[in-house]
Amino acid sequence: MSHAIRIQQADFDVGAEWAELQRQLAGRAGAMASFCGVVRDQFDAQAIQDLELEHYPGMTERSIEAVLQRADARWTLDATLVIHRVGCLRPAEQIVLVMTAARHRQAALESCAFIIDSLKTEAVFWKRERSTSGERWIDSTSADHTRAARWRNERQ
Amino acid sequence: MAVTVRFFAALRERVGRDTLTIEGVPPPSLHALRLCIGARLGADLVAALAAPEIRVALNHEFIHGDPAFSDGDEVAFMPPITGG
Repeated sequence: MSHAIRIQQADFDVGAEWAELQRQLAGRAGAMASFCGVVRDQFDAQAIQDLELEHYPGMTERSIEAVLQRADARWTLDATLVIHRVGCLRPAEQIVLVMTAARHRQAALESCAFIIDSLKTEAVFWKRERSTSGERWIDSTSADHTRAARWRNERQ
Repeated sequence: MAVTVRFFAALRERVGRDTLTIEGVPPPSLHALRLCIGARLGADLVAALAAPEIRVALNHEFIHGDPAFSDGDEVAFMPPITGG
């Protein structure tokens, strides 16, 4: 089982990452799932100019690794990958990529959703949004916490 | 002997710096550490750093409870996080 975590300023190529994971798996996994997060252009009817992502080198990777280990403990997975960008991002740019691979689709799909839901509340990042109405630091929403809690409350 | 303190995001902006080095014998508790920071950077920070939404990490691990600090430790004060 492989975990890959990359924190980077540069953009990523979803197709290239997908192809590389598929090549590494060499047919072992019958299912691959992915999620890609993109910077929205609006929040509360305000036009977003950009999003600044800050992280804590070392601890951020550790916080993501902890999420991937929990996914591993819950589903039988062949591979997980998280790429998370930092720095200044503009609307329509990609922020985050999650990929999972498993023998069967349910584990791949569910673990992919679990990982992105968990990153919202547990990954060590801070986001500052600049819009037409000014700047603000973004907190995870109550909906984010509800989604993360749903995984904790479900029977394993 | 020294403990390094780091501040992130909105907290870094409020404190006005990202790092503070506390020289000498490490503070015996989290409250003692906050008092040290307050004495150096402003007494109003003691309450700000104790706010319920502020999470604290010791050497890259979130802490629960009140650890003792040792020489070389890195303590981080973090406002609410969100990834993804």
